[in-house]
Amino acid sequence: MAQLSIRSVSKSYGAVQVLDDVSVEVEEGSFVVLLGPSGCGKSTLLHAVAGLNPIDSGTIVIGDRNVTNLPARDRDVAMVFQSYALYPTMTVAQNIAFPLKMRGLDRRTSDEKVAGVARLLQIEPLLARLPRELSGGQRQRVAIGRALVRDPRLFLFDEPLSNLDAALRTELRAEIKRLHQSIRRTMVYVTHDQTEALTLADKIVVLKAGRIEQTGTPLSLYDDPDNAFVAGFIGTPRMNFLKAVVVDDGKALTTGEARVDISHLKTKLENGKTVTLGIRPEHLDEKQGVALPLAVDVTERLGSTSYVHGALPSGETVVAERREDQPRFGETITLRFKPGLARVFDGDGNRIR
Amino acid sequence: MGRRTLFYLGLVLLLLAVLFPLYWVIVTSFKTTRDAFAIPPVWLFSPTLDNYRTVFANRGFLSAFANSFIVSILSSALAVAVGSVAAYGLAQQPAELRRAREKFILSLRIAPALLFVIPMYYLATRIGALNKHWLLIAAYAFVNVPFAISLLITFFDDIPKELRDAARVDGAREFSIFWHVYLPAARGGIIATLILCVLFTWNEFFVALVLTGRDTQTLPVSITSFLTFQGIQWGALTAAATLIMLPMIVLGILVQGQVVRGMTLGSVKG
Repeated sequence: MAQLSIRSVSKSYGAVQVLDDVSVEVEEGSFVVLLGPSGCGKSTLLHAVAGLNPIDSGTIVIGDRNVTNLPARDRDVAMVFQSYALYPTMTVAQNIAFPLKMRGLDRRTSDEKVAGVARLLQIEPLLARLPRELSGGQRQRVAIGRALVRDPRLFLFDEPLSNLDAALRTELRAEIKRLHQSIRRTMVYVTHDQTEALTLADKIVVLKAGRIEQTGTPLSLYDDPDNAFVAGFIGTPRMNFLKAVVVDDGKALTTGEARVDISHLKTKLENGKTVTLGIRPEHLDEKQGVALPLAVDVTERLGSTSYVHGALPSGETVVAERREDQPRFGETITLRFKPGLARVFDGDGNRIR
Repeated sequence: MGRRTLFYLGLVLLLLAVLFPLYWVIVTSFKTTRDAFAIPPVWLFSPTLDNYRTVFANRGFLSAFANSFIVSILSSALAVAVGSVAAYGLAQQPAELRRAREKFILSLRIAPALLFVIPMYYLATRIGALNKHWLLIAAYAFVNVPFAISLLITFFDDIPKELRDAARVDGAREFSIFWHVYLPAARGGIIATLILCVLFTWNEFFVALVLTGRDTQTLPVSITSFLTFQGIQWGALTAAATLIMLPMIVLGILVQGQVVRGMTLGSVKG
């Protein structure tokens, strides 16, 4: 049974449609990430689930209750905010106890629960402090504690790591993952950071301009994107997109001088049709396959690997991974890729399979 | 160089204009009548407390002091209580709704007191409330509420909206959010508003002149009793003025320090 089901939810602010017929099913105990660029509606959707934003149409069901018209306090969800949103005049212990106090729990039980959560998150020494006396990472830990303490049906995370520096972000990301594995509660997590999405999610929902572009496991989105937007949004560096023309009765594409075999595609393409060929940087470091000559511009050395930025004879810019050598500015190198790993998209950006 | 000198010269003139009357009032209150009007003025004199004795012997002044105290504290507390609930509500409303309501509140603030004081006087005489403290308390609370609302809104606006969202998810009802989250976070602003209301009420003359009876006279009205037909008792008048100013100067200094002491610091990013 789905723990959360969002059915055909729409919302607009004046003339701006922020959510357009969005449906998402979240399985009990799973970790679902809503991913998309800023302004795609992911936070609005999360706030709608929390009951903080009313929706124009659609239904939201948590567990077996239709909560569409329930206020936030009756939905039995907990939320962690990007800005932490800790109560400034309460100590850490009072912050964590607040949801219990609002539900009228007695003092002793409340104290025990707060102590338990503090132990789990290793924030026991901080309990008597005020939020302003904590670092960013500690504040977010306290905010997570405040969400955990009530043991709600659903955890919502609204870009919880965006205000932290890179090192802390990685650390807390791992901690959230560990937390989810140990308590196995249903979590919905909003982010614009595809690395967070790929590392945390059981399922990713990619949103763009209020619509769902694709839903799937991290690997399926990476390997088998439905469209150029998802292909480009997932994976770093970004997938390269090259203009190509169909030749040989739909059996091949040409891009520049190169000829790419596409006889494995089920769809039959007409000669002369213009399509887009998508190749990931990490697939351009092969020994054999289709060759592309690249005039090197910049090489980024990351230690274990390097990324070469450059231009093809057509003028299209390409980023390619390079594991063995580090070409310099002005050199021309040959990139090779296997046609089977390239993805083909039509003029509207839809995948051709 | 020249501009700097000019700046300081201007500053000195301004300070003289502002502080000299204060100096004159306080100094005169410690002078005998003869010293007070000596020409040329006496700069060094042996201070006397006679004027203060006169003031403290005046029953009317003492009861006016008590009236002013009760009326200004109670009416300000009432205004802040009502104003803070209203300001909280307004601060949560969408911008367009809020703007219309703020305009209305602003119009109440700039409306001349005359507008309601005269009808209120008429009503008060009809129901025999003219000599009652509650009439004054109600009148001042009414005058102070719009002021308190517009000031408190700015303090509530400084509190991040996410705190309300967080509290709603945490199970709080609207009043709990106001009481447990917003009120403590805006404590500095609440105190500042309260003090400003007290200052205003303490000094107010016109409403007090119309709406007070014999038993409810406040200080600004009662001080005029030192302007008698026999002449002005300058010594007693300035001593009374000094006593009236004193608590307000202390409050004024307090309010400076209390305004927004970064109560929200640390709750959101930083």
